[in-house]
Amino acid sequence: MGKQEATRNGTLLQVQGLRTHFLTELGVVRAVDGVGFSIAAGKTLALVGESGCGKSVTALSIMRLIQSPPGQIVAGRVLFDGQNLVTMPESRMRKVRGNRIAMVFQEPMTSLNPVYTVGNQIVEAIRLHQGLSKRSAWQRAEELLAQVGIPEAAQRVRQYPHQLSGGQRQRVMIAMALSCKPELLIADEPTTALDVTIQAQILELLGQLQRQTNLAILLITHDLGVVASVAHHVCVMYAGKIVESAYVDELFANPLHPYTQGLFRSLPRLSEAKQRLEVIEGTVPDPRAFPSGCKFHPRCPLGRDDHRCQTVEPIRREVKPGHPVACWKAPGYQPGPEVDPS
Amino acid sequence: MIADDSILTVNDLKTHFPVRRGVFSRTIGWVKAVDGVSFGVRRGRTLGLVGESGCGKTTVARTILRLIPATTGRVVFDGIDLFALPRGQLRRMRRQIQIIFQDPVSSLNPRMTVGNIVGEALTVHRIARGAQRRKRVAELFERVGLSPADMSCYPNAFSGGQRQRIGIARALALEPKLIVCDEPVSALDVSIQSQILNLLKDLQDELGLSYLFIAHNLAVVEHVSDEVAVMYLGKIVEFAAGDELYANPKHPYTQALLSAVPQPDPQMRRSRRRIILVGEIPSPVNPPAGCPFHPRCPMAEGICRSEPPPLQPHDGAPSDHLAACHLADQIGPTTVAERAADLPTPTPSAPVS
Amino acid sequence: MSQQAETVAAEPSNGQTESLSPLRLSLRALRRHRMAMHGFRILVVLYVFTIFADFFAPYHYDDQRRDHSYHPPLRPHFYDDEGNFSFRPFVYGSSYTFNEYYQRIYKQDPSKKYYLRFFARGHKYRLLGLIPTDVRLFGVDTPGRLYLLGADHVGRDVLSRLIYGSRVSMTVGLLGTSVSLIIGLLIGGISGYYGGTIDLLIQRLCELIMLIPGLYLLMILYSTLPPGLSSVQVYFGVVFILAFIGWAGLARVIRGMVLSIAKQDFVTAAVAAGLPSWRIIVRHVLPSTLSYAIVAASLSIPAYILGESALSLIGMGIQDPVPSWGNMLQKAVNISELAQHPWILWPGFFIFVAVMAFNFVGDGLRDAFDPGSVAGQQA
Repeated sequence: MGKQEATRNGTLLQVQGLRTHFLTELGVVRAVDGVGFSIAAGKTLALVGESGCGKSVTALSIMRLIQSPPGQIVAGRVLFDGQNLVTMPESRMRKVRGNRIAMVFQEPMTSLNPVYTVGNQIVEAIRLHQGLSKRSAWQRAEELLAQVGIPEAAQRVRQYPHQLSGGQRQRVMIAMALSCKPELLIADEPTTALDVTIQAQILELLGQLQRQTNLAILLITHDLGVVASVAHHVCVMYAGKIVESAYVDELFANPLHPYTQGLFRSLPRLSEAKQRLEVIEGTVPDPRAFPSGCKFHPRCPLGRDDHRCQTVEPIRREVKPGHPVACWKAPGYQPGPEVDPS
Repeated sequence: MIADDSILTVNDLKTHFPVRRGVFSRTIGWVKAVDGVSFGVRRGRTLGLVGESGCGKTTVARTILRLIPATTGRVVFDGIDLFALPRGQLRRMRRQIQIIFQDPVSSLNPRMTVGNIVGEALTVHRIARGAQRRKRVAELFERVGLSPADMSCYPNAFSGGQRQRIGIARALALEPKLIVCDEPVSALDVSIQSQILNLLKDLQDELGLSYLFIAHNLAVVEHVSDEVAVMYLGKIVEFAAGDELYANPKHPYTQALLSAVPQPDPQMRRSRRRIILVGEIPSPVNPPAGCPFHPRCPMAEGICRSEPPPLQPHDGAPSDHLAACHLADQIGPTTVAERAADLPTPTPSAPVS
Repeated sequence: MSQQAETVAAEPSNGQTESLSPLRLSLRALRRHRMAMHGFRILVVLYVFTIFADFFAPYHYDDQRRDHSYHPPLRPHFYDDEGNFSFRPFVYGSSYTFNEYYQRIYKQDPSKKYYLRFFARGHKYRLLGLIPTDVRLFGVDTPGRLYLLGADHVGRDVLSRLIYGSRVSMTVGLLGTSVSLIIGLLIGGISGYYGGTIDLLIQRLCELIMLIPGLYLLMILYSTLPPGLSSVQVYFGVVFILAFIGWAGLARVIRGMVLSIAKQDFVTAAVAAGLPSWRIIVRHVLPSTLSYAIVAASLSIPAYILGESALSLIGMGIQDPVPSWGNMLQKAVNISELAQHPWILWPGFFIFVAVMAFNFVGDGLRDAFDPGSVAGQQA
């Protein structure tokens, strides 16, 4: 199956009703519990949430990297270029992974193998998926390092990960991910472990690469500032579900779900008067023992004492065009069909 | 910047680590992690120390607490020269300065109950034992927002935010006057960060604590600090009161840092000029000659390459606002961004030198 | 009234009201390891024999019958020659003749029946060293002799000596390992925590001890023991000799672990709180090495058992008449004796069983403590 050029602005990836559960001896952990969204070529979708909300598991599920046992994709479809990745046999999935969908992880030190040179690691992927000769593969690796902005690429390509700085290692990870010209890049907290100025460089780099190659990016992060910088579309996750999604300007101007609102209010902002920060009370629930009804209700100033919020879980409904939200208390929330963010 | 009501003053502190090679461990160079740092923390106030990795801020904290030996310099706490104290008195002195750590996982001993973790120092310093100690630990738990019933649980039962609260309770147990907060919220989720920051502020108001607050997140630092010092490569490059620093940054590095902070506001994001710095932070083994920032500075001129700039007041800013830059007199809030915009932006296809 | 901080959830976030220490969690994981639990049960049985040796053994370990030298094992019968059934098992008496090589040939004498009695009376002893009694689990009336596993060259019952021998072989491992564990932990902890010259000297000492081949070191040390010691004193001498060699390897590994543990923030916190160094080493650093130390200890107990057996076998350990599984094998070294009287190899079988049981338990412990494995659950 040949690789199609991602020049059209159609939908590249569509996730529908994804559920990934983990069977532990202390119960079933519903890490991802009904997640759906779609990404178009050349656009960036940000999946925002705090630790334990299931965003990383979503990314790993798309790539079919969930360790089974104890985890398993129990429902849903992941349509990539029209084919369902969930049911794809592993041999074909391997041709997709790294080749058409690439992934960049959070911790560049542990994601790179410390006993091989960075050049070796890039060349391995290139030779595997593109079948180039050794010489051409090394040349390509050098070009890639230069493309991601590493100075003196010819020397760096023969160095080991520990000889590079954190920012450089992350660039190497991006170079590896790009080596096979993927159509979709999944970036799981790519800049969380980096300094602020390096983070700015990496985000700038990702933006330029996207403009040049029409790359679609699924960006996973907990940093709303990063989301504002690079995302076109945003989905907010809580306890395994997407509770709100919208275009980035709309979400920041008009957050409708109390969790999203709470997140915004609890951020310390530059150049604002110093006062007590607002707080979301309580902590993220234990995935083995989710609250009944709306999973956010114990922490929600609106839903804490509302009987409906306590007992019935709201589904995502479109409150405004292109802005679905899952909250009984959202203004304009009417009964209607469930909507997946698109 | 060392005011009269300073509870802690640091004078020209230097911490250099030797680099050894060879079978006989000859010293071939020095890692100048902290290279001449001076500041003061005012009583009951918070000094924020901000900078990126490798700037030396954590080393400053550990050197002040004498967890790492200093190379030269003087640290005076509440009138007492800390570096001159003999071991016995130093141990007693430790009650007054405590520290909170960044990593909630490794900062608590996984094999001790949290009640023991918080209360152990009370026994060792002969402050309380037995039932009295338990009572004091229960009080501390309540003060930081935890339930005393959890005293006999192990750290693995608690979330990250709760563990940080336990760490704070441990620091408070000895009733210190100054707490060094080493990136206390960096590893926490956003919604928990605000809880912990509020807690720290409340404790400061209640108990009159002074904080040395170390972080790399500028928004957090600005929120909690009365005064802020910006560090780069072992030196302080700018020092000012919190609001002043953010309204009127004088040092190009500070301006670059501020512009790099991702702002949760897409409109502001697009309208604000970004300064993307070139290159990486140099290694502290071989700091550049002259101004340590000059290889990456959009404003750098001849003098910057040869003369290290002194930390001093400049035109266009109040006298307690110090910056270490030869050109600071001409720098306004948007000067550096404009200059950076004029430079050719590094594109991905062209190698950056 | 001070302002209350916002209270987080009253119980720990994972919803359980009880919280187990990492040690307890690992032991729980151990129970799921089947081979380890089998091994554990075998060890329990062996140790029960050890503690209640006098009760289980039909005869005292030095109860000789020279005219029953190398008596083969006697099987208890339920049916006699005429086909009569008896509920109570019995053994026949035996008589012997000499063959042309002047060896004894034993024949069973059906005319003499000796019934097996439970809770029979034998010679006096003190149960658990305290209570004087003379009751044993089973025995036969005199003048019958019960040789369930045969007799040795002076007519002593092998089964009884095996049971008494467990007192030496099973305890020497435990005791020796405990001693070397304590020494190894302390020295390794000091070496890793302080570093510098102390570390250098201690490590060179460890290497020195580890350099010398084990068996020869054992023999050298044994020869330093003064002559004329009682068997109990010899026993402790052997234990300490083994422990003296064992601590060095453990100390080196513990030192390596301490180097990395001491960098963790909670150790820094302890220093910053003004705790004295000894307390930091013992209460904060070393407990994190326990997972490795326990596994290493349980896997080294077999080495101690074998070490004692080897010493006793060559006559440098526990001496006759006190039995140990090692010295009981002395006669088995001769292949012709072994061919004619194979039952003298029973002690070897027991050594094998004990060593395997300890290895299984050690394997289980290692899996339980391993944070990466599915069984291990430590933070």
